[in-house]
Amino acid sequence: MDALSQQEKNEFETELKNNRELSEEVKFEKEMQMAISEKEVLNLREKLETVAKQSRNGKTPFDLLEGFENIKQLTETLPPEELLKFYDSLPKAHVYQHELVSNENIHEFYREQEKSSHENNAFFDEWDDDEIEFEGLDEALLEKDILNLRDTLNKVSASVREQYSVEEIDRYLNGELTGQEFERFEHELKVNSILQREVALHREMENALQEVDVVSLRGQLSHLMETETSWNVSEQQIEDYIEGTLEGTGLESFLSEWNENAGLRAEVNLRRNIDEAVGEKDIFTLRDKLAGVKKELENKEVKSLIPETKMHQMHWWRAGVAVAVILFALAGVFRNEFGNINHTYNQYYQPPEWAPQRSVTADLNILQEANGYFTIGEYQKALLLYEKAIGENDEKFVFQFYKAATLQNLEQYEDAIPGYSQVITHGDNMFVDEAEWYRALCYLKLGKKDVAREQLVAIMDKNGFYKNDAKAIIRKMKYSLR
Amino acid sequence: MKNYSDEQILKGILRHDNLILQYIYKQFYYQVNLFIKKNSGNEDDANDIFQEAIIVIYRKLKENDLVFEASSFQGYLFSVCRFLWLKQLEKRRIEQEKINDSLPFQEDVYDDSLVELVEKNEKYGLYQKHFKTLSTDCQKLLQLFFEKVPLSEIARIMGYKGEKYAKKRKFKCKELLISRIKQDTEFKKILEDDT
Repeated sequence: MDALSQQEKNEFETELKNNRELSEEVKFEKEMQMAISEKEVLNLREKLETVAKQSRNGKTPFDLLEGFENIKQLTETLPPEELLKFYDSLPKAHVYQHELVSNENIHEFYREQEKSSHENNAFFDEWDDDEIEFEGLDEALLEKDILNLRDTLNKVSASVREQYSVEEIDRYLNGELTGQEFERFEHELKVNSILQREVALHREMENALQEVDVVSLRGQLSHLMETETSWNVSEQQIEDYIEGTLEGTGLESFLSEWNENAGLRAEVNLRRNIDEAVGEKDIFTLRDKLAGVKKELENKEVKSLIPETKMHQMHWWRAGVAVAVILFALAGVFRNEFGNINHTYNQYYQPPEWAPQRSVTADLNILQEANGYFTIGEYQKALLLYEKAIGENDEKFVFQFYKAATLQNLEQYEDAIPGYSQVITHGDNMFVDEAEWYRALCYLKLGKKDVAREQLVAIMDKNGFYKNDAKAIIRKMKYSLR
Repeated sequence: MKNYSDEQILKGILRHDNLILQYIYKQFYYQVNLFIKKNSGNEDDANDIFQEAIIVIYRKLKENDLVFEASSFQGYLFSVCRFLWLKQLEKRRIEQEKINDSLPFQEDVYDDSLVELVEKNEKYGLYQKHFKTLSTDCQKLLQLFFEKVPLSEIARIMGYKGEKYAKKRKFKCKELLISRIKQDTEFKKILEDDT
């Protein structure tokens, strides 16, 4: 093996794959070597042959007939009990019986047959197995260096890695290989089972990764299982237990689960509370009454705005005043609403802090320079630096974030939004949460309430740093006119 | 709780309807859980098996290969869960001396097409699991390539210098994915089953 160079090894392996005779010879040598090394089997075989020889020569197996002086003199069969009594050994008794029936015709016939086959084999029996010589066998077995070489070559061919990289396989699958390259690959694919497996894996993987719906369903189910509790009892059993109708083994297994499962106890308590609440009819009635009273009072207040006059004369005037009041009220609400948006924005917007060391391994010089301009309010200069850095760096998200923040400070909200979106889309950085928050504020400032609300709900659901602020803004938006 | 018919359940699975999925979970999971725990499994095993059974049913629905002749959704679901768990036990070399068959099942559900689908789901599930462990950058990049988005567009979306760089990143991501798959002991077991 040491004598062969890498190229020679590769050539040998290639030849091994293509040359059937060579591969069969290698296989035969391997098998022979394995056979030779099975010493315990060889020893056993020798022993068995010895035993077989003994039985052919008439020697009794394991001297079991010791004590039978002359078996041929026995003319009557003894009952088994007497045999056992005499010779106190079942094997001996068995052998006795066997010898006895050997006098029968069938056994005689068999013995004759055996005798004749022994005579035939006598010629071969003269030969001692140990003395059989195969020409050259000794020499072959002594060629340890060749045996080692074959063994090592076998290991090498088993461990040889695929000769084609991921890139080449990918190019083949995408139809990018041409001419000789393509032919070489196709030829290798026909003979190389490892390469065939690799290509199959690539194909399967691509198909698997295109199953967006399955991946999505799996994610949904995982989330469901994390958030939902399981109680190991059915819905019906829970209801029966609450009603007091669960009995017998059902009740036993329910109570067993009850003792171990806090989730089940919480669910039962919740359902009991709901049942009690729904059963409070007096409270329902009171609540209805209060709602009615409130409505009455509201109507009276509206009426009191309009002065009392003769109905038939003041009819149109009263209607006109009512409409005017409503219009003024609406205008006031709108003004209030927009005023509220600005107020809300100003209340919750704070320029982001300078922290580029998050998620960044690139050189911080540009960032530091840009930050200098950012903090002193020279936003245009900061912008230029960020744009330059985005063009030159792989890790763009940090520059994109601060560029967007700069634009937001310059009240260019429409231009800021794409920058934040890029950071969010990138996903694998520490600015995502903030980008989502500031983007939502931009939408709010632009008056795009629906989009802003959607973003804020997502922030709330994410349960992150801005959850409470998002919740507060949503509440405020809820009570403004749609 | 509202009861849904088998037809509604199947349509709900196809639509990934959260209400239906919750209903399935609340109605049927506990029995599957009990069965698995009685047969050398634990809660995590029950979660996995239940989830994969629904995915297998979803795949069958997509192939228009799901017909309840003499059974119900419950029966089919339980049969698939049982099959998946027994397969798992076989893989773990756990002796199936005597299965505690507390879960009612239908033998006629176990045909070649189900076996094939389960094996495909197993493989694909493994590839998808490792895909999710890649960085979001890699995931997005590979998705764009699989969607046959033009290279120049991919480079623009990802913010890369050029097409060559995008391709280089793709090969790196794919290499990483393949090496992770191959290192997974489950993958080795799948290969053994195939051979």
